Amino acid sequence: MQTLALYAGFGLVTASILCIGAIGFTMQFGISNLFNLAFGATMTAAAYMTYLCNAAGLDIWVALLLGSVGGAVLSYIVNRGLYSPFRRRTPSLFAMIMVTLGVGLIIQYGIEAIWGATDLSYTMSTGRSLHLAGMVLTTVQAIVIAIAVGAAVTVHSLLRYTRVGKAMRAVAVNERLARNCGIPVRLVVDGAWLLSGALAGVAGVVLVMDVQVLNSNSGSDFFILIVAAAVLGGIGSPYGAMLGSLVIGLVAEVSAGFLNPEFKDVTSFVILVVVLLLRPTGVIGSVASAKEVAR
Amino acid sequence: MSSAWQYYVATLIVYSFVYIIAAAGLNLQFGVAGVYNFAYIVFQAAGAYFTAVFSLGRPTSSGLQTYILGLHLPFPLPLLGSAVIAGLLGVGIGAVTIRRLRADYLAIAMLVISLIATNVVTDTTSLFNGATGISLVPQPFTSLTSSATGYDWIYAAYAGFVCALVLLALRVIIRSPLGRSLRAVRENEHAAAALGKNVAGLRLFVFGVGGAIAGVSGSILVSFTQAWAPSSWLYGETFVLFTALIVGGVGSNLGPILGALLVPVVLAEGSRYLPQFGSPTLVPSLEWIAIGVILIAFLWFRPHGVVPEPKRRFPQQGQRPAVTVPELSGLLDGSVVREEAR
Amino acid sequence: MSANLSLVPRQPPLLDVRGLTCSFGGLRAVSDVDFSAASAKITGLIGPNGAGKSTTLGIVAGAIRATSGTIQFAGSDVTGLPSYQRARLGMIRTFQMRGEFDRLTVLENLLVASPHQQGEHVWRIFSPKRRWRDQESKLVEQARELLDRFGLLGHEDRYAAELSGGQRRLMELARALMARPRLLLLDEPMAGVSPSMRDRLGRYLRDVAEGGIAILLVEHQLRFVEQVCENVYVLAQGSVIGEGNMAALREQAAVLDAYLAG
Repeated sequence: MQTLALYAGFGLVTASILCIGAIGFTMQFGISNLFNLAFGATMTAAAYMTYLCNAAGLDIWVALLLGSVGGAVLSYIVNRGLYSPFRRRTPSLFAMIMVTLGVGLIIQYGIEAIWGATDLSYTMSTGRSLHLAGMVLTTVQAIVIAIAVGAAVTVHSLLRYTRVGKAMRAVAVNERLARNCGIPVRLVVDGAWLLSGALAGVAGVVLVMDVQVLNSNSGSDFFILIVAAAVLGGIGSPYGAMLGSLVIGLVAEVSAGFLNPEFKDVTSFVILVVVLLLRPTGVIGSVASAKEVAR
Repeated sequence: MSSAWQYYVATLIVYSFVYIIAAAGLNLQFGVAGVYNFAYIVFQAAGAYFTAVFSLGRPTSSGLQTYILGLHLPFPLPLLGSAVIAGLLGVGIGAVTIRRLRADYLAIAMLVISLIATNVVTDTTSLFNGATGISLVPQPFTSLTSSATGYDWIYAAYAGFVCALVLLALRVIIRSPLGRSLRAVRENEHAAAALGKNVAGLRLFVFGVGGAIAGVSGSILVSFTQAWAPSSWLYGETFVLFTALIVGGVGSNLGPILGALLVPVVLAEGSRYLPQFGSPTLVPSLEWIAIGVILIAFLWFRPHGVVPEPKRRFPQQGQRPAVTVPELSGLLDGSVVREEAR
Repeated sequence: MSANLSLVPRQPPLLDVRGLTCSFGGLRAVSDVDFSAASAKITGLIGPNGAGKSTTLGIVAGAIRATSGTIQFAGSDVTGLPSYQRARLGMIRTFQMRGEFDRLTVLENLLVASPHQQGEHVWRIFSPKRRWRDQESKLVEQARELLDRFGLLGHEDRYAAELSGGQRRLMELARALMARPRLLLLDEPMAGVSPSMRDRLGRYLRDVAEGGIAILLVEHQLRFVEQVCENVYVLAQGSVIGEGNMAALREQAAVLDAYLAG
């Protein structure tokens, strides 16, 4: 029982990192109807920007903020410069996914070209060990969980109570109708990409904070788990992303603890494939159904 | 020509044929039938692994590698056997597409399957020796010559022969009514079904045949390099082949040939000519960046590739059929022209 | 015109639909609908927008699954059959929009439709016998004849995507005929077609029907329906509210009410 709580604790941390990333990823799908396979690389890029600031002497938490801004700007540029023009030109969903793939390759290997394949790390302390209800977490890990909760609450409030948020939901469901209702679609889309890009940035940085290692693969390795969380919960729905992250995070860590640690990733992948085959729209399938991901 | 040079050229030729075969197989799936098989590299891997364990003898208890089977079969059984297995694997995984997912969603599902395969093979060392992979794979028809350089040339000829067979078979399929039905499914699967085409069956067919062809490419490669490991078949390799098809063009055989030569061969081998600069990972990183840039550039400027799908024209036979209702066709032509304004 | 000989045993109609219902979400798109279509006759399905006509056609064709009801075609129950198998039995449908194969030429569009092609079997195309090539030559001739009839012969080598809207309609009709149908399901075949062409095509469809083929068409152009259909069903809000020939239907109050725009 004690080990279960221990692994559940790790699961919560993983779920938190997943949550931040999955909300961003699913938001990009919702607003622009595409799977941004460059999301993982964006996480990595932000993590490296944080590294630069951190190595220049800034406190890690300040650097985190700057990294998230970096993620926001990068995502905005990529959408404005590439994704939007391509979307306007071609209805081919496959072509879009190939474009995001190309962007991901450029970003990831651009990073590797500059910094090489060596592992880096942040200059930070992980804080002391906290014991809560059988879980053992470092201060940093506890803060990560807090950040995730904060992000979830912020996004929820944004979407529910603010005009911008409601406009985002409208555009996600039906862009043409939203435009006809007078919603400034381009601004809303820009805002959504800035926000989701910032979430990508935060996710990338806290990931590195947790595993204490940074290299050009950091974001992409974790990215498939984010996809699993978003798809399981229901692609396009931020609440789905939160739910999916909790499930994937807990399942991944608990199964790694009790079974073979090497199978940690595989269990999540298998869950993803099973979901895709049996219930592709995920648990909260409203947005996914509206976008007809499965017929 | 010095023997080092001969070895290099022969290797380049073998790799070229391997890539052409692989691209041609993916062309059948993606280019002709419109199936987005992002797990394609898994089938090449299956062909390579099974050729290896069919050619090798039983793993010894004191040996350094563990693997299944080890049947020590003579040529050409490993090639044929692994092609069949890769084809069956193709049909099995292709059954995933029965579930009607939209194109990009399906691509992700296949991508994840590719990752699962990599993870399973890496973690289960009893299958194919895990992350280290299998090496010392025996080569076929070594009795023909004792010269190492001579063998390389013979092998290059063998690779070329198999490549020619594969391309010929694909040409027959693509130009037949079967190929036409595949293209119809690619264009509009609902209309195809409404005309009696068994869409699911046709897709399973291309998964099987394309998978077998991928397996053949893997078999030829592994019998030459004599080693195969998970690092040889990372999911990124599938992207390289897709890029090759987008650059070269889909539909006919010429596009995949061109694409295979331009993308994997020029990119991979071209880097050998560049003087080593920077860190050892710099040049490979630049290659990947180049692939990303080329992919996006082609999708924007020339999405149909260098050699777009050729238009199929049918020759006129003797007399034209008599026009049945003169005023009908005349009026129809006139009416049709007025339609343009709609 | 044709005497109704009571001595001739009545054949069941080629298409017989009973109790067809289809609901998705909370919406009842089609509600307990009965109708039939007989060989050598043209049957119409009319009704205001949203009445469920296209949905009904889609269910008969097998593209949409019914919640309940049965569909009998050529004596067998096809209710559970996937659409491609219904097509192989001779039930051929056209689409309201986007039914073409864009990157196939017009001629290829027609060739694809032809059933029982030898060249579609992988073992046949590799056999040394030329059987499939001979069949292909004959099919090309047939396709050209059809294209000629519809005035599309000069366009045979153009990609279907390059045709105008009206030309695509014609091509789809020609393609449906190439498929050797026993029953044609036409979804608004005259949409966007000029009046003069409509008349000509109406007469052509009558010729086709007289050849023994059953035709069921969904249409908005009421004059066309009157000119061409022997029997008409009126659908409104998912149910059949009237049946008969157009003249009789015009009298029925319920039908008039349903058609506010007339």
